[in-house]
Amino acid sequence: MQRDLSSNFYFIFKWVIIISFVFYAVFPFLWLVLASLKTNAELLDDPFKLPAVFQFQNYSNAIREAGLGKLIINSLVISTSATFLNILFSSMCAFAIARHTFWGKNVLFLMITAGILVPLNALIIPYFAIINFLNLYDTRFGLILVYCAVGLPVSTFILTEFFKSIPKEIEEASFLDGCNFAARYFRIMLPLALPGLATAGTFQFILCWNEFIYAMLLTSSTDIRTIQFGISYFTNQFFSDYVGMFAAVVISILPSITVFVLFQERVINGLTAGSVKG
Amino acid sequence: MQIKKDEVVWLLLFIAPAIILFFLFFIIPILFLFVTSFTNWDGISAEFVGLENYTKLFNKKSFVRAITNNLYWCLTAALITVPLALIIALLLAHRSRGWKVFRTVLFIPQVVSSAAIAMLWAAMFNAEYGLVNFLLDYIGFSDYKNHNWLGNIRTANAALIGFSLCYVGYFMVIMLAKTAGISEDYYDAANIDGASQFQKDLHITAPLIKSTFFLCIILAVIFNLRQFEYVYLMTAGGPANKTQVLVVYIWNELSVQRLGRGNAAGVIMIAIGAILLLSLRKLLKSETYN
Amino acid sequence: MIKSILKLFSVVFISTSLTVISTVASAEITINWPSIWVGKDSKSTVISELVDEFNSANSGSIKVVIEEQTDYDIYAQKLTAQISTGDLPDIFTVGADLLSILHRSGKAMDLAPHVASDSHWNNVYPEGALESNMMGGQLTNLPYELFVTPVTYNKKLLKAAGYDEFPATYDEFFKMCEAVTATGKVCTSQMTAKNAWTSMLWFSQALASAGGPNVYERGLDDPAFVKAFEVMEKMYQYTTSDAVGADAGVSGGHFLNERTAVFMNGPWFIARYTSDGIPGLHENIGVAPAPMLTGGEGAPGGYVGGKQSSLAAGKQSDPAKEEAVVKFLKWLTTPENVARLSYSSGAMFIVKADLPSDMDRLFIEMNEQKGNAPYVAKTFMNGMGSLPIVSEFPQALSALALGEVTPEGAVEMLKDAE
Repeated sequence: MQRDLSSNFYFIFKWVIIISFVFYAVFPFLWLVLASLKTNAELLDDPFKLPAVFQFQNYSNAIREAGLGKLIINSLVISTSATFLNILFSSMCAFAIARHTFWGKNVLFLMITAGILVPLNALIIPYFAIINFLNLYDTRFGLILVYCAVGLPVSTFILTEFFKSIPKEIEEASFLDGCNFAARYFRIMLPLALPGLATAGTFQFILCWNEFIYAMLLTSSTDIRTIQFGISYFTNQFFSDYVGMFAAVVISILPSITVFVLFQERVINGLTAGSVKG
Repeated sequence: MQIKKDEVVWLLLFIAPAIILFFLFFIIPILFLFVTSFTNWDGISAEFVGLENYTKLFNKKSFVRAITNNLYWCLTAALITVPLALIIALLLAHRSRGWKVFRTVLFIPQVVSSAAIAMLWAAMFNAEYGLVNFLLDYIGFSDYKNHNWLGNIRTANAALIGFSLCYVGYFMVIMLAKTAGISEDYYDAANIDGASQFQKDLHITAPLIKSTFFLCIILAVIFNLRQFEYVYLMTAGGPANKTQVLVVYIWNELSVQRLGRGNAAGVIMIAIGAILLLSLRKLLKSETYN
Repeated sequence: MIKSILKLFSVVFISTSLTVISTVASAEITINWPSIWVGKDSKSTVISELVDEFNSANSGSIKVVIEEQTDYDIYAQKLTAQISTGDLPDIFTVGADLLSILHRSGKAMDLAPHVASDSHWNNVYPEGALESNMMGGQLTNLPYELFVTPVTYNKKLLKAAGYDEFPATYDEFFKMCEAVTATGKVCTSQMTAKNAWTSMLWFSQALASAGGPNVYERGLDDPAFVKAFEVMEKMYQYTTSDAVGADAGVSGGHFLNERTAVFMNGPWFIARYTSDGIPGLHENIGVAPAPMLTGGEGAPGGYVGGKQSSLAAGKQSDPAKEEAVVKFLKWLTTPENVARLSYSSGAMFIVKADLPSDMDRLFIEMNEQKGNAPYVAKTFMNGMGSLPIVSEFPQALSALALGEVTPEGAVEMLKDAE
């Protein structure tokens, strides 16, 4: 294919933008890995110097001391459950809002969207009281419920947008075929909204995975605590084992990245590879 | 689609879980915030004090500063963050070699614990050994050799916003997901007409993801209104309250046990957010929200 | 594809719900202790040993369970939530910031009758120590950990600048700073992030030196506050370029790497001179009381320090459980156990304990200087008695350091915070 001058320019512009943001995004990650292989003394001396000897034992120490294995399993259980419930509930609600007209619909949508702007850090005492009232203090289910609820506004907002853009004709055809409400949702809409579900699901998973304040507030047993507790294990009021913390952070990133790649690669690519044509 | 009578039960069933959770974890706490914002509640006792919390807040320079800073953050979200994310999403949507790797890489900051990222950027901006100054010095700006980016009244906010741009991946992913649903037919037709890549981006992809772009702007503006972690971890509102934002202010009020006043600040914040949300919807007038 | 994802999710979800439902019942009394002495805290090892020993000695009747609280800010918020909405934990530690709200809540166990009925327990405390902690005739907190914050300085760097002794007045101190600067090093480590800890300690020293140890009783109108800010204004001329906005890691890191010559922190930092400092740092370190302002009300050799954290317990309705809680508190405060804690962590305690003679040299020097000190003044954080003022301090200090306000203006900023 022939390129004229402007498309050449566009080509360069594209790669300059992409490469520079890749640096922006990847540099913190590389630094983190590098820092996690130093000693604390080296890190405090100059955060950007290469370590004299790579301290790989920081990783085994971190896993052992903070018991990261168990915490990761807890986080996986809590985050996947909360993501599943969240996406189920918010997609059901989004489907109702996006594809139907009913009394109070706009108010409902506006209210749920307004939930996005609630400052969660200001709700420590109410949430503590509600979870105690429900008798869910120090349970995994308590955290699952809170995470599921907290992510509801954003997920519903995103999913409504994705449901809305599915052509009406498809749903109408299925309606004529005799599909009822639930069948239209499960068989027709969910598969078509897959990119949206994957995107909202990714965000929800990461929200659960990275949440720290409520994880500490609503639990007390180490047995049910999450990976973020493992990261905080290395810092306290007067002493911080930074390299231990960084090693824990690097370990904690891997599951999130896996979820992201799995959702994005499989779901979205599966979709564009064939089946659906708008 | 107009709902049929026999499907009303289904509809209720579908919105019920969301409504119950929303009632429990949003409506009740917000009512609680609202009621206590008129008291001098300190965790133990509360007396009704009328509008005192509100008048006191608006008389505080640091609180007004927090509101204006938040509005700057919102403006940045709409004018810089999301447009940048759109550009990157459009470019990656070409699916040239390795685009999946770039998508994943650009998303990485999102999954790293913010405490670690904040520490890195604080070290990057450090006046004694930071890389930013080192680079600036290297290319000839020797004035900046010991410039304290986060500890300087003129540059602290800019440095924070510059740092926050490493999170564009969030919005890029939303828009990129939307491009996945665009039919190849459109592009095939354009190819027959001999359209350039830029023309295809401008005339096919961009209009089709317009509503998603607006959605991202609304999300980004609201996220930046409730901005907490970056500011709390990197400057905690300092120096001299110059980078103060609302949620950090609220958090501080709660930590010093002025719960009534902190909740009043929370109510003000929700009110500002509601105004922003409504006016954005008016402004963007997307058919998506009707 | 969706089906398999759905399947996976539902399996995970159902298995979680099942584990949630299972509960354990037993006749043992369980004492729940949300503790900040966990993780990498220097006291965590001995504390967990003490708990294990107590549990095995009382096996079958009492079991103490530690709830690990790694983040102090969140711990404080959680405790506030518990104080205002529900029941307090069985045993917990409180910093000075929460003592007053804890007492007013009426939910804390009054330990006075228990101490009064056990003269042996009463005797482990220095005379008058418990009485001075009573509020309204009740003892709702048991003082436990103490701290002092003298000057620590790098003898090698001071010698290079021509000083063998640490100066006794601020005039000399700032002259010394000039001399240190001339050698290419920086004089002091300062910080303004979080609670501005190191700088807050310097401010407390200057305050006590200008207004005497009782300065806090006279309030912010006392001229000592302006004088102390004047000292800080100068102090920031002799510090690193990253001091405004620096956190504890940055300001401590400068001293550990011999970029700064003078540092101020508590005894818990001693172990780090060896573990994280450049080689040989520990041998070069000296301890001294802070300098004095000429014409101030403070006395030479005056120290700054105070209560670090106190023990407290929630009210119990079950007398058997109350006894169990008191039994554990007594276990934590025996002189032998306190000596063990102190030896392993370098922390100081109010309980009279015989410390081993091979304590760290710096710890011994601090203890001696504290014993000889004419007074131990409170820190600004503990002495001010107002959380809003303390929380505004870092902002006022950074404004002062950047020349945004005068020392008088900085005091005004503190007053406005109320």
